[in-house]
Amino acid sequence: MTQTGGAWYYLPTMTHAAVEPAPDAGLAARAARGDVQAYEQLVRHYHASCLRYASRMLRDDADAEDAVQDTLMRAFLAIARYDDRQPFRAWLFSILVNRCRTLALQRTRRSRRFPHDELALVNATAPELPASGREDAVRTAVDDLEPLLREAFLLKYVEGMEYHEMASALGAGVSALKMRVKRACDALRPRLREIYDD
Amino acid sequence: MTDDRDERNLQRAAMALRAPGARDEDALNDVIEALRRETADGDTGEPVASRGGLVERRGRGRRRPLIDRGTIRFVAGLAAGIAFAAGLGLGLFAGWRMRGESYRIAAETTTGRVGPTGVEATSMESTHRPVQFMLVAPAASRVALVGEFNDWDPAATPMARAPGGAWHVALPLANGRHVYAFIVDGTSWVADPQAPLAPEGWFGARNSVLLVSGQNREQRQ
Amino acid sequence: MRTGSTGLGGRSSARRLALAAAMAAATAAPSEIAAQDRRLAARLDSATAEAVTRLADSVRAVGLPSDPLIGVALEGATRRASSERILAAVREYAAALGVARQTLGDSAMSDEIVSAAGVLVAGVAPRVVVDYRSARPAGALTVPFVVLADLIARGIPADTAAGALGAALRSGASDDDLVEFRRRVERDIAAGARPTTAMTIRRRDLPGTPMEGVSPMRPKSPRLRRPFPR
Repeated sequence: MTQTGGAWYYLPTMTHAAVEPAPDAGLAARAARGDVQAYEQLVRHYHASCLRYASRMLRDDADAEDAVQDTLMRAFLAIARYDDRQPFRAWLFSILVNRCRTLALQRTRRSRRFPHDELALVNATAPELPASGREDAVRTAVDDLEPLLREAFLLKYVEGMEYHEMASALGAGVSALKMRVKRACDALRPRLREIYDD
Repeated sequence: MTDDRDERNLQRAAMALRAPGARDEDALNDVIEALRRETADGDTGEPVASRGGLVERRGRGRRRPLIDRGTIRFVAGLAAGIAFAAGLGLGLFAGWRMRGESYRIAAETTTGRVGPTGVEATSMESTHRPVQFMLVAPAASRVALVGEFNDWDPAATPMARAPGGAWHVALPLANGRHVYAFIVDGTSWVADPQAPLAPEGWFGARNSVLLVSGQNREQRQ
Repeated sequence: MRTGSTGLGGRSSARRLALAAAMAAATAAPSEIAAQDRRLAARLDSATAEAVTRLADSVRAVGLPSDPLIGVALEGATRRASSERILAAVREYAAALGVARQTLGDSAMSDEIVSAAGVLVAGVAPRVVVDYRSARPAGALTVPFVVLADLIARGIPADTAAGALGAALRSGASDDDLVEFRRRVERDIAAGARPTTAMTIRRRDLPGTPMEGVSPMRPKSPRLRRPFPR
C-alpha cells in the first residue's frame, strides 16, 4: 500500500487463521476404537461450530440443532471409517454438509427467520418492532446467499478452514471453492457496507 | 481504502456469525445425553437396524413445535430514548494528565479537591491506585465520569470544577485496563481527548482507555 | 426442564415449551427470574438482562472475563441504547473474547484478551493477533493492542496500522515506544495531518524497517530509535 510521500510497508499475510485449535488427534483414534469418552470430548469441541454452520444453512435454529445432533450421532456410528490422515473437522463437516443439504431439500422454503427466542417476549400491550440490529442483518445477508456460496463462505470465513480442508468437506475442487468464496464476498459487500456504515 | 473497509466488514460479519447463542449449551447437553443413552449398556429404548455399519433410527418424525415461532416477535424492552451525542461543541480543551501521560498512573493525588467518592490517599488499598481524571470544559454546568469501574452510572462520580473550568475527580482503580468517558451536562458523551480511543463503537461516540499499572518502567517488557 | 425423551426428536419441543414458560414468567413476575446479574436487572428489561447474564455466564464458564460484557450492557443502558443493540454488542464482544483467547493462547491475561478482542471488533483479522503473539511471545500484548485500536479508531486502515505495529514489535519496540508513538500520531492528527500520513511519518521513530526499495528516509539514529531511556 503506497502512502503519499512515504514508503512501502510490509504487511503480514492476512490469511484467515483457523481460530479453533484442533484437539488431540489421538481423540479421534480412540473414538474409532470405541472410546465414548474420547468421542464426547470431540463433540464438546466441535458442537458449537457445527451448530452455527447448520443454523445458517438451514436458517432455523431448531432444525439446526436436530441436524447437528443427527450428524454427531451418525459420525459416532461411522467413526470406524474415519481415516486420521484427513483432519477430523473436515470429515465431520462432510457429514454435516450433506446432512444439511438433505434436510434443506426436504423442507419447503420458509419465511425469513425471526430473532432469537430469548429475546422474544409475548406482550400484548407493547408495539411490535421489525427485526433489526446488525447481527440479524448480517445473518439475513448471509442467509440470502445461494446455498453453494453460503457453504463456502461459512467454512472459509466463519470456521476459518483452509481450502484443502474445505475441499474434502464440500466435495469440490479448490479452485471452484475459491470462486464460490469470491462470489459470496462480492454479493455480501454492498449489504455489509450498508450494515456497518455509520 | 475501500478494499480494506470491505475486508474489515467481512471480518466483523464473520465475528458476528461466531457469536455464541444462548441455547448452545442446552443443545450440547442434549447431544451428550443422547450419546450416552445410545452408548449405554443395555436398553437404548428403540430397536435399531444396522445397515452397512450405520445404525439407523426408526420412525422418527419431526414434531411440530408447540410454540409457533411465527407468532413470536421481538419487542424491545426499552423505548428508544435519548441518544448521547459526541459533543465537542463546548470548546473543550485537551485533557490534563498527570506526569504528561494519560497512560501512566498518577502515583498520588496532589492538587484539587477529591471528588465525592471520598477517595483518601492514605486509606488506599495496595491493589488500587488513585487516578486523577480531568476534563477542561469551562462552559459546562456539570460533568460526570462514567466507566466500567462505576458501572457507567452517571450519578456515581460527579466531577468537581476548579477555577478556569477544569473538572476533576480522583478514583482508586485497580491495575489493568479501564474504559471510561465523560458525560457533560447530562447529554454529551465525550471521550478523553488525549487518551487512546477504545475500539468499540457500538453505541455511537467512543470511549477512552486507561491502563493502570503498578510497575516501574524498568520492569516493563 | 428436560423430559425423558426417547430418540432425538422430542427434546426440542420440550425445551421450547420450557423456554416459553420462562418467558411468560418473566413478564408476570420479574422477581422469580433465576440468575440475573443484579446490576443488569436494575437497569435493563428482564429479557435483555437475562440474555446478557446467560451470555456472561457462558463466557465465564470457559474462563474468559465476563465483566467487560456486563460493562458493555450497562454502558448501553446508560446510553439508552435499544435492547437489540445492546445484545448485538454483547454478542459481538463475547465472540471476540473467544477468538482473542484462542489466538493469544491459554496463558493470556485478562487485559490482553480484552484489548485483543477490541481490535478484532474493529475488524482486524485474527491472524494479526497470532502474529503479534509470536512477535512478542513472553511479554504482555495489552499495550500494542490498545495502540492499534486507537490508530484504527482515528482513521488509519486496519491492515496498515496492524502491519506497521507488527513490524515494530518484531524489531523489539517496547510499550513505552508504542505509547509515545501513539501520542505523537494523535497530536499530528489533531494538528490537521491525515491519519495515515501521520502514522507513516511517526513510524520512522520506531524500530523496524520498511520493505526495501523505498523512497529515501531519514537515517535511523540510535537516539531516534529509542526515544526513551528504558
